[in-house]
Amino acid sequence: MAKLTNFKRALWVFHVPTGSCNGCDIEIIAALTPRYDLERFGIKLVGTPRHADVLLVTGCVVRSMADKLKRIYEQTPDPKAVIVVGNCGATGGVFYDSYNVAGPVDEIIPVDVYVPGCPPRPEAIIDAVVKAWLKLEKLERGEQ
Amino acid sequence: MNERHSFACSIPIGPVHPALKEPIRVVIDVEGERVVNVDIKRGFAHRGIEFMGMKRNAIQVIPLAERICGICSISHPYAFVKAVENAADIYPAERGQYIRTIIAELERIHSHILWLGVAAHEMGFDSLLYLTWKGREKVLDILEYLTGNRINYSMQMFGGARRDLDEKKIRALRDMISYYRIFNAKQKEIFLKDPTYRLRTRGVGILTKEIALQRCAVGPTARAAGIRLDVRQDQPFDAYADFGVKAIVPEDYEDEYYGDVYDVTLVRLYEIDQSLDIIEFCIDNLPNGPILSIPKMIQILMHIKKNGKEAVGRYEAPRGEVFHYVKFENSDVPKVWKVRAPSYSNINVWEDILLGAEIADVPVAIAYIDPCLCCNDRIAVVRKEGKVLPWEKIVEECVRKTNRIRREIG
Amino acid sequence: MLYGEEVIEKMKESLGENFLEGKVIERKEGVKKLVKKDVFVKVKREAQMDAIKTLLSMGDVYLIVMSGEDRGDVITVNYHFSLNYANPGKENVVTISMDVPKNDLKLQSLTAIFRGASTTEREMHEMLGIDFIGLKDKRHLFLPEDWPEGKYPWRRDEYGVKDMVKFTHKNVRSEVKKNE
Repeated sequence: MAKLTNFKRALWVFHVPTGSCNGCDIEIIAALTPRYDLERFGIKLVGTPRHADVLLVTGCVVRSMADKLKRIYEQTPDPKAVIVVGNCGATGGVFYDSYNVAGPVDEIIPVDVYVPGCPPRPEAIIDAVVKAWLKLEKLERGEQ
Repeated sequence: MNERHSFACSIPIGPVHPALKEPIRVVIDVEGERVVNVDIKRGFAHRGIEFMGMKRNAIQVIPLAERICGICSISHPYAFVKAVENAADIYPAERGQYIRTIIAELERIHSHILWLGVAAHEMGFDSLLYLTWKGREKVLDILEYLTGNRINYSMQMFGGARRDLDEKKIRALRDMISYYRIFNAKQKEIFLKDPTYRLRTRGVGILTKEIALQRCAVGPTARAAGIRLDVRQDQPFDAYADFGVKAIVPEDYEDEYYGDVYDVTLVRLYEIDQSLDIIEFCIDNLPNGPILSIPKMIQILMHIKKNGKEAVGRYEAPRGEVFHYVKFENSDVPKVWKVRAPSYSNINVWEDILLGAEIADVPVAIAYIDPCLCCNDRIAVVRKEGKVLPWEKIVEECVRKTNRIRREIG
Repeated sequence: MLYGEEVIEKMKESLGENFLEGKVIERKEGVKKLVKKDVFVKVKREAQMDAIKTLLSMGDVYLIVMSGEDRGDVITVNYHFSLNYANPGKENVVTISMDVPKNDLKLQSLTAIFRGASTTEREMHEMLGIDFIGLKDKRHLFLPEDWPEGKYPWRRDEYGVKDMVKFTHKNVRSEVKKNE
């Protein structure tokens, strides 16, 4: 059986906005700028979920985005990890009693890492991506 | 009419795409290289904010109003606080008024630098994205020093501001102002004098004065078309009433103007200079005294419950005019709350500026109005038969055209 | 240029008995205490187009937004306009309100005068159920396509959305109760 060697190279990340206020999205892009510089680890943002290893989901899930989120999760190839950035995706945040929210993200797709904060700092987001990396490597070793 | 459209293909630019960071659905019909029809569906970020606001009391609505948008996070609470102060007859303390203005102008600087980076990125100048966003980090450091957070700083309260400025913070502000004067001079040279940028943006997305008036456009979008419209000039409030703000239009700085992307870049660059002047004026003339006119929150709620009526509040956000209408009736929970963000009316302008443009210019024209779709607060689809092109192809076309222009001018 | 109380006087004389009441809110801004005024006018529903045409004759006008409130038997609809923009220190925000009974929810559309009014009329149609005569595009603006018929989010009667509200924070409490 061929050995999986994906995680000996760097992670590619796809960002999914599902109805957020944009604070977390701006901090994700700020993590790529020269001060925090994710690209020195080889992590880069890709344009389609079919190339991605990690999904970064932001925002409380609005009703019309719920089925699109499920389809993106199914389009991402295995092995994959899902990271939820911000308070809105974890528990609803400030929008806890609305008529158009389909629930926090873990009622729709399974989640691996949560990053709390409103919005979390770019250093916290980098920490979360590294933790997801270690978890994926452990899963790969555990299966073999 | 029908024969012309039967050869057109539809391109849906769907909710999740890598270029715009927010979900919106735009379907454009193209014939060859030209766009013939545009349809927009919003509503992918609709969270029912006004419905939730009518169940919470007035002070609890302020954090909800901050999280309408992360980029213009001071604008919505500022307009809401002005509306409630007008409704309940609360006079804000003078030192609090000046501190609120300083934080608001700092936010305008960071938002305009963000837009410059995003516009350059849409065209393919990625190194400009990194250069401008690195310069933006200094404003975020100052905001964190003054308020405690980089985004969503809750400094507004009915009657003034919540945190005070002391000597060390004022010295840090003066350092920042001198840094940004040099940085903005460099930015103006890069954006306004570079021949590639000028060729790429002159004549793209032209917006005339008549169309801007009919579609009720506001903010830098309307100012680039030549209308001298600015809430800080027409109905001044807080420290703007003492400073005397003038709206910036391109005809003061250039000989010929068309209302295209180049003019909108010029308006935003000169607005950064104006913000630095306003911050300096506020620091030099900061009045003494308390920062809040009613220090305890319970007293504020009782005051609103006794005297609350209906009123209106407005503010000039980096993208345009923000309008809040609030009405109280014997309670401190608002009975009616209506929010109107600038992108609400500016998005209607897309239908006019995209007609007749080439596919390669579509990302630039979409970024022209600085769309903030979460501010729309709630956030259109026409499905036709035809070929479907993915969004990456459109962005690739855009970058290819930029490289072709660069090669032609040598 | 008309400002403050003069706007109310002109509306009163041109509308006659359709004019119900008017008031001005006056505030002082900044250290120098500059005066700023906002105008609120209430008219009968039949005089909707007359009032708007009178306002258009007073200077440069643009429509900001419309808002509404459910008050039992009637729905109060407010039009917010900005009068005389682009003049330093002389702009007014004029609010025109009218009561529309629930068994006859119809109003004239303003899309012939302002093309950009279609956005705000579509929003009032989907949030409160008001029908605008002359509006061509009646699709949903913000609500999703599979929204159930007859549910209007801003209403407080049997057409409201109280049963569609989802409380996301209950997840944590029910988890704690399960473990106990």
